Amino acid sequence: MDVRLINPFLESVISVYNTMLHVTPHRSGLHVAENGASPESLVALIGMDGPAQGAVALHLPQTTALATVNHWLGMSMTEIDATVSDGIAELVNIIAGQAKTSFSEQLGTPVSLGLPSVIHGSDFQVKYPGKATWIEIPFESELGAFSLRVTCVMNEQPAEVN
Amino acid sequence: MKALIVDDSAVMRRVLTGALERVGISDVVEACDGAEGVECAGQYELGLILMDWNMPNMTGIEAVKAIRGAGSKVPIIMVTTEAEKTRVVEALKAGANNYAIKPFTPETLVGKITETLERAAV
Repeated sequence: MDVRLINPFLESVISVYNTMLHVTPHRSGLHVAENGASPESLVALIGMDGPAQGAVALHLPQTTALATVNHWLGMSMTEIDATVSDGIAELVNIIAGQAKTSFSEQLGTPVSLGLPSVIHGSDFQVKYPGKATWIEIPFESELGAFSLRVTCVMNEQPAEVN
Repeated sequence: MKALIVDDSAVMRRVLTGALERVGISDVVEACDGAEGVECAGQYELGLILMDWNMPNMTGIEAVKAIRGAGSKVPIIMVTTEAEKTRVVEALKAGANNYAIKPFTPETLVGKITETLERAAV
C-alpha cells in the first residue's frame, strides 16, 4: 500500500476530532498493523469502493470509546452500549467520508462508502481479503489513545469521461 | 415549528436536535432511514427537514425526490459526509434547499438552518 494514500485519512482524523469534538489528537506513529486486537476494544469499520478500494477501521480501547462519546454528547455513560457503538460508527463514517472526498476530487470519480459496522469484544482480528496491508496510525488525545487502520488500493480502471 | 431529522445514527440525531434547540426548535420528529423519513414527511406538518445521505433502506437523495414528488415544499437541508461538488449539485437538483457537510461546527449548522428558514420565509 502506498503510504501517500494515508495522508487524507490522517488529515481527516485531526479535522473531525477538532471540529466535532473540539479535541486535538496527536499522531504518535505510523506502521504496518500487526494482527491481534487489544483486549476489550471497539472497532468501527467502513468499506470503500470505486477508484479507491479498501476499508477504514477506528480502533478504540473501551475507556477511550466511552470518554469520546461521553465528551461528544455531554453524558456520563459507564458501559459500552448501543449509543457508544453508534457514536463511534458515526465518527468513522465522518472520518472516512472526508478522506474519500479528497480521493474523489483527485481522481475525478466518486469513491463510495458503505455503512459502518461496529465490533466490540476482545481477541478478535479484523482482516481484509486479498494481499492488502493495513497501515496503522496511532493517536494520543485527552480522551485516550486510539488508532486508525487503513487498507486502500487504487483501482487501475481509468476514470469515466462524461 | 416541527422539524424532522432523518439520520441512521442516533448520536447524530441527538447532535442535530441540539442544533435545532439553539434556533428555538424543540418540536422534533426523528426517522432512522429515508423510507421512514418519507413516511414522516407525509404524516406531519413540518417546517424543516435535516436529511442524511447514506442510510439503509432508502438513501437521503431518494427520500428528497420522494418528498418533492409528493408535492411537499418543506425546506430540506442535506447534512452529510458527501462533500463532492457533483453530490451537492445532485442534491440541489433533487430539491434540497441547502447543504451542510459533516464534520461541522455547531455554529456552521445553526447558520445553515437560520439561512434556510429565512430564505423559505421570503
